[in-house]
Amino acid sequence: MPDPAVLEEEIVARLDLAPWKRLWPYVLQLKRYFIPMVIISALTAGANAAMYLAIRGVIDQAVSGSRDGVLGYGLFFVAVVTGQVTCVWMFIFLGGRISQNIAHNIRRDIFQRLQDLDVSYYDRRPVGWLMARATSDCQHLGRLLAWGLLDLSWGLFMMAALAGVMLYLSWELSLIVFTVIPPLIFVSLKFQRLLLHSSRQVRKTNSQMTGAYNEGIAAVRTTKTLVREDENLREFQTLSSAMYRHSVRNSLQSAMYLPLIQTLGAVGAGLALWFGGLDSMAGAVSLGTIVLFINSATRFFDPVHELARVLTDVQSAQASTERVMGLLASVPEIRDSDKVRQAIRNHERGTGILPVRSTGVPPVVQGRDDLATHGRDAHATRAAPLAIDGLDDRIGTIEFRDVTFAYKQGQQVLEHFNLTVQAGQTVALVGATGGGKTTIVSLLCRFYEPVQGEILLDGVDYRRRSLRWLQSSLGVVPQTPHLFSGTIRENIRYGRLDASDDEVARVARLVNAEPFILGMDHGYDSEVGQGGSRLSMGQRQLVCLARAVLADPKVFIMDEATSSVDTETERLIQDGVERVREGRTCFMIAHRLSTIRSADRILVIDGGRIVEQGSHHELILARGGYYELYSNQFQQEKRRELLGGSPKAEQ
Amino acid sequence: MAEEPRKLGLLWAFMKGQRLRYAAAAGAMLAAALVMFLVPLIAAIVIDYVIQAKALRGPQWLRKALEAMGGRESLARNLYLAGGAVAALTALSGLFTYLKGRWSAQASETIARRLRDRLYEHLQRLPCTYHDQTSTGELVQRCTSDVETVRTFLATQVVEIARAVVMLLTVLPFMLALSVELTLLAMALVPLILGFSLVFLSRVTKAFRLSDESEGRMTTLLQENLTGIRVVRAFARQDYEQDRFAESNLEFRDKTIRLIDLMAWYWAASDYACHLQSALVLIMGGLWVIQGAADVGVLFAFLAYEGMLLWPVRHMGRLLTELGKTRVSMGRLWDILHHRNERGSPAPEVLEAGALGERVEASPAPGQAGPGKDLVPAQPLGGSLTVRDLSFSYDGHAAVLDDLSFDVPAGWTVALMGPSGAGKSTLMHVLLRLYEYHRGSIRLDAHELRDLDPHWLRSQIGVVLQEPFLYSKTLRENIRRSSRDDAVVEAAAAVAAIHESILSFEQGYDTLVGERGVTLSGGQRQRVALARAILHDPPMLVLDDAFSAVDVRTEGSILSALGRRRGRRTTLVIAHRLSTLIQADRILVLDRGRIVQRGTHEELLAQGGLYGRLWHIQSELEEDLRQELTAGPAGGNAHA
Repeated sequence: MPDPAVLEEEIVARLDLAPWKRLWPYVLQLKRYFIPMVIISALTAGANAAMYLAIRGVIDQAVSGSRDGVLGYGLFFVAVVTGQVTCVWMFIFLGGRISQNIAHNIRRDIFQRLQDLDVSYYDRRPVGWLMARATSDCQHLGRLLAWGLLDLSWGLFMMAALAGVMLYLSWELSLIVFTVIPPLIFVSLKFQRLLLHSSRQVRKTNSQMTGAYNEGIAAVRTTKTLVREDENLREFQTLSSAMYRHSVRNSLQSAMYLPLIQTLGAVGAGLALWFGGLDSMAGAVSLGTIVLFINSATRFFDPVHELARVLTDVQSAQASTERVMGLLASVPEIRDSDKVRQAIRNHERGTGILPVRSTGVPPVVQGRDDLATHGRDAHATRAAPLAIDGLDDRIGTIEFRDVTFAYKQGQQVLEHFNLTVQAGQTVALVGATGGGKTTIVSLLCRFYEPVQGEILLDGVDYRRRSLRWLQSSLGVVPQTPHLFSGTIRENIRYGRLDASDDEVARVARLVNAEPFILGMDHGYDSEVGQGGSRLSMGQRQLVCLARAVLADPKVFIMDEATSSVDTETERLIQDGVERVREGRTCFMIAHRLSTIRSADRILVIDGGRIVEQGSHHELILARGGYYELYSNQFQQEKRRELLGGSPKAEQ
Repeated sequence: MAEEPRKLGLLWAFMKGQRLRYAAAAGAMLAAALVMFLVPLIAAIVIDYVIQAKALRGPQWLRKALEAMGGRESLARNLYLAGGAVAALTALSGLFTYLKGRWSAQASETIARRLRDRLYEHLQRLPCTYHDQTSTGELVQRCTSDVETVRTFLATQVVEIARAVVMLLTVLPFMLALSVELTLLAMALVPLILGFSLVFLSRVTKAFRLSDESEGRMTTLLQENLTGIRVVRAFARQDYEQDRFAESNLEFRDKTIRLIDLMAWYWAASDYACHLQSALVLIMGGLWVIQGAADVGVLFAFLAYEGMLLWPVRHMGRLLTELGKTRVSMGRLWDILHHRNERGSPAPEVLEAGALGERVEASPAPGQAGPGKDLVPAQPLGGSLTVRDLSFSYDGHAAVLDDLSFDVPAGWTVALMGPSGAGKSTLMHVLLRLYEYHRGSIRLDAHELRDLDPHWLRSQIGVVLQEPFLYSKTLRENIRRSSRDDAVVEAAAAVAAIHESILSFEQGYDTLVGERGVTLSGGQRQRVALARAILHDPPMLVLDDAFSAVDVRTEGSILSALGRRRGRRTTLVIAHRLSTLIQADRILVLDRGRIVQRGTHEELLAQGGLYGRLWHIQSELEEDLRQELTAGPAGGNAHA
């Protein structure tokens, strides 16, 4: 798995426009904010320049002794600053909308994309990595597009306005003062880049230090028993000293940068004073003009500094733009084929009006497609309810035919795997960890697809069926019970969103969850906490079970939890599962004796193959691997009954 | 307000040794400001004295100095001197500014480093009772973001306080010297600006919290969706999830826009006030120039000074908010640092700050470690253990250990077993002085345990805890402790039956453990921890369910390797496998904090009880299998 910390810290050497172009649609969507923003930044720059002109006017009028002139220019100054602060208010207003809308829209699209991307996409990326894309990267891009653009256009307009005024008043003096601009640009760019590098170093060290604190606290008992406190502290001090070095370097760079560009500005001001003074004594320019030149020269570094900063920011955001755009451009490999989508559309159009033809497929899909034949073979009855893709809604026989699968190329987890399960059967999958039990179930859920071979539902390859139909036909209880923040009722209703409160209560009763729910302060409206943290492990399992049952799935899939639950809850869960299984095809990754014993078929999975199968009785008689497995399981369970404690440690 | 001196007092204590540096930084800033004030003055002189040829209103010495330079004509001829002086003075002021930046950076980073080191050290030395009550995430949060808040304050705001003071002390005299009326005018709106920014920032803080909270909700939603993606898929709830997220995403956007709108008002309004202040000076100054009450150069200088003064004033509001945040953060750090460590003392800076603020409470809380006698015997540990009437409780009420008495002669292996929650691990922890016992007695050799130095004690006992922690270092570094001898490391690894597994890794002993390296299985972790525990061949070994994840065969070979030291090393082992229990010289069965059975394997079998029932699982299994085998196909669950 890629280490997020390392990925974050890529530093891009040169600017690549390609990822930025992909941002363009987001900008276009907000052109009602962007266009006024550019206009207002121009107005702001104009107002800034006008302020200098007003000051010049007051001074010149004062020198010439015109009271009205002073008052006139003074009021002009007040008017200009009024306009200027209005502009400031407006561009912050607009910038806020741009930055937040950009972040919001990109985040919305990322989330949407993540809902459709393959489960295998998630396997390759830690959740933290994905979170960073949808949170900090989005905010970063929003900020950059809003304030970066503002600074960029303001900077350019400001320079243009100042230069324009100066050139207009005295082009000779202007050219003299302008000589400081090239070094100003050079110094700014140079230092912004240095600062970028050193601040990255600081962040990297900081995240290492966070890791060290984490470890130091989590390991506190071990550290005490090993009497390792001093050594740990010494190691930590190396880290905190590195942090000191990097932070001080970063601070020194900025401490050097500002005086440097201020001095450059002062050189410009000095030049203005010198040559302007000479001109003024010669009567060529007014006193006010000199003051304006001095003021302008000292403020010139502002826009230059902003431009350099934006440039560096863009460069530093390059990597995150690439990551975000890369995510948005990823396409799920597992999705409905064109034909299936067409079938869904046809079915939607034809529901209730168009009687489905004898083939069960709309005409468009017919032709070379052999799907129709499969469909006919499997079901003679035509009166069956139809799924959203226009095919039979029921799931009868499930067949894995010659299925080969690998998460990584060359590392086969399943090889030429064959399995046929009849409707209503309960199949227990047992065997050592890593044998492929979870993989079989994940393939059935179509979280992954077989590399070779096919999985047939009533003879139809499931790739020819709608993905959503299949997945909503399955009721899955995962090994680690995952709940969402919200009330218990909301969590159960997740199984079927339009279920009434009565129906929710009914399934809760069915799986024995009601007693504990009613025992809570707010009953069904009790909050479960983040990830279900306010419920015990066993209670979470019960809620998951109820949720799955509410969906009234055609196929029930349960990955039995290995975590320990008190004996009473354990019995409740067992009992609930028993009731759910009635009349359904069930796949159980089984860890409990009672589940295993009551299954219609037990499959012992090892190395991606079925090594033994049959009923409990048959397999015990065979005295093979299952015999041993069962004996171990038996002893563990009994021991757990006696001693309680950690079953996972007994593996 | 009784809290305040304590929090900021703690910060003051941490500033020890750096206070001079701060003073130097403030000095440099003063110098920079003084030099910077000369710049507008030069321009003013050029404008009034040289260009306009007016009489200079400034102080006597200035006039004399200018006369000495050759007067107006000479200056007019050499006007480059003035321009050069502007550049040179700015550069000089820049040099002082740099020094200020350098010294304050060094000071603040040194303090931050000291704070971080102290927190790390103190957290390691705090007793286990403390860590039981706090969450790791919360502590890490304090050590990182709270320290960062303090650091930012130290790096940027401390100097700003100095700047505000320096500016008021320097600009004002300058301005007063130039013109008293103009000065009053220039300060007219300052109280208004200050009050406004204070009021406004408190509202901004509220809006900020709202935005922050909605971001938190959105992040939670996102995280739950991403971690539960299989559940989402399994119920085909993509659309539902999108709706939920859209709502939360929208809420966050709107709350943040509200915050930014507020900022827009703040910035625009405070900008406006500052600009109006300048306008006042500009207009009134212009009129005074006409009346002859002031000169143009003076007006120019005033406008420049106004700029220098207004910025720090406008900054005051932020400074006060930052100060508030820092106080809160220091309070949270104080929470950690004032707790007593295993030797019974809080962090030294807390004691120092205590002299400023209120006194640190005198006696340790119950259950918390009290000061030990720190006895370090001359002889290494012999290994005989005598426990008499030992009772222990974490909270002072529910007894976890209840009146235990037993003996372990030196060199014996004693096994403890019993249901979970019986107090087995607690007994081990008390033995290691991770928790202090208050009732009964534990004697190790001839010493009462609580008199012994805990570090010495632990160095004499090799320990493998129930869930051993491996550091994210190489395997070698994990095992070797202070030993530099690779052969010793490998020998220990061989005894723990992990040597071969380590060699099978690509980088052998240099393989990194943890996120950046390999993930070890539970059994491998336990064996590495065992190797680490036996490295120094300690006189006593404590194994808390240390083989639970190790398979039976490997466990056997480890036990026989350890058995070679049998009789010379006292071993306490918590175990549940009969294969382990059977080898012990004595077995203690614990239940609810009491010893319910004791004896050898044979004696316990004869007694029945928990031990007997455990033993009989084997025969229950045989019975179960026999039934299954003899019954006909109908006896089992028929194959459908």
